[in-house]
Amino acid sequence: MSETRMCTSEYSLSYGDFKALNSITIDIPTNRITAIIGPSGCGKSTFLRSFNRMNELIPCVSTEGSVMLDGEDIFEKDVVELRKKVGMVFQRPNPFPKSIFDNVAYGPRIHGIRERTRLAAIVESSLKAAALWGEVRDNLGKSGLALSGGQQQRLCIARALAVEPEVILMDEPASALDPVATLKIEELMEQLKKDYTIVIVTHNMQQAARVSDLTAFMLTDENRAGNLIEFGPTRDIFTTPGDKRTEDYISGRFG
Amino acid sequence: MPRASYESDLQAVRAELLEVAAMTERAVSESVRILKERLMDEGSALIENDEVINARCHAIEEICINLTATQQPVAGDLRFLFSTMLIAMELERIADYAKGIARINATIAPGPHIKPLIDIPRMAVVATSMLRSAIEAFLKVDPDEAARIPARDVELDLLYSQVYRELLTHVMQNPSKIDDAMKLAFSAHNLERVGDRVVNICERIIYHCTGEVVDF
Ligand SMILES: Nc1ncnc2c1ncn2[C@@H]1O[C@H](COP(=O)(O)OP(=O)(O)O)[C@@H](O)[C@H]1O
Ligand SMILES: [Mg+2]
Repeated sequence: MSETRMCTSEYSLSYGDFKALNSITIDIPTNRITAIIGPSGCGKSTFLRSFNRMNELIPCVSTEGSVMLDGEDIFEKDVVELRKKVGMVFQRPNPFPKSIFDNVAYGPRIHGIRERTRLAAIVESSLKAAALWGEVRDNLGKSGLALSGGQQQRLCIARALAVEPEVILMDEPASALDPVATLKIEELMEQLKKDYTIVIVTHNMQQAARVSDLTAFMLTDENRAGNLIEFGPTRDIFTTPGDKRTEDYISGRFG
Repeated sequence: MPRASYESDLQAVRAELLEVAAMTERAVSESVRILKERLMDEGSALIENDEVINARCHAIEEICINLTATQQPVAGDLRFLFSTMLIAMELERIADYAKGIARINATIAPGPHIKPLIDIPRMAVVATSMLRSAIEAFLKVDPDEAARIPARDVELDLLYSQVYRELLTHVMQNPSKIDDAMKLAFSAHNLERVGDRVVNICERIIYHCTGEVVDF
């Protein structure tokens, strides 16, 4: 087993009076793809956003327990620094209405890189890492919005990679894409895990089974709070799950 | 209920496997009865029946493949379908051994055997009871029961070497009977192989129950 990159310990989150996450403890290993699965509304996105404090942007959110990155409490870190290390890719590709180049150079610029040649090098390596370079190298001035959905999503991944994160959070990154674009993203994830730690939320169980090394299954309890039911190697979860609720959910006997 | 037709397909393939297992078990007992009692007319029905068992085993395999391709079975369903498919393949082989015994009987000239068959029918009883226990363990999803069955294979091996030694002794005294003696030895060998196949089935049952791949 590889070392832990991030972990949560008895982590709970409430939206006002509503407890959405109930005491979740999990270790996210380095250079692995961890998938979070569960029925919609069980708190997957909320939990994912906890890894880079995106929930703070939502009013009335309160939390308990801890979230750590490389053994340090993320709530004690500078939030800009944290989000540099823990990047995020969303369900709908959301490129900025700017050129492909500027989309990718956006993060590095915010972090103070101005030099054109250095930016160009970062843009190239990020686009290469996101498996998009070959398709856009001659059109870096073109608007990001002019790309296909799958290309836009890879552009967003390149944008996330440009600031050299350690962890990439992906919230249903392929759910708006066709099967071919989806496979490209999945292939890309496989390559990225050599250098990054990936946490992906997906409602597509086959996708979790295909791409992830570990799978976490979440489910709401009687108070509608999201709980972590089972967490383990994906192979085990999909062949011999330990919990009846996991088995029912992945076998499609849920609800 | 979600996935109702998938559920009923799983139930149907389970029921089909049980029926084919029962047919296979009958084929083994029947083949030895035919051999023991020198029933020269009844072998052809058994040989024809083997075609039916083959076809039904292939149909089970096909259903398992189709459900795997279309329904993305996981966990218990996945283990069930894979073990069912592999058990069907073993049943097909077991039925082939029974057919082999019926064929052997047809090649031995009518009339009493060179010596009365005692241990070969015993082997058939052990082999079929192992098979029946295995199928029960599969039904009950009972890995402990499945793990106990392979020990009974030792009994079959012992009976086989006994039959073999006796036939050898007989041949040394009556060299002209070598042909018939060898045919009986083949029959006993077929039954010994049935035991090995049941042991394989037990391994599949344990996989079905626990996800563990074992080798007895
Ligand atoms: N900004 C918010 N304010 C209040 N409740 C929210 C907010 N976002 C999500 N929720 C609630 O939290 C629960 C979990 O939502 P979410 O994390 O989006 O689940 P999932 O991603 O598993 O579908 C749901 O009951 C949802 O209605
Ligand atoms: Mg969500």
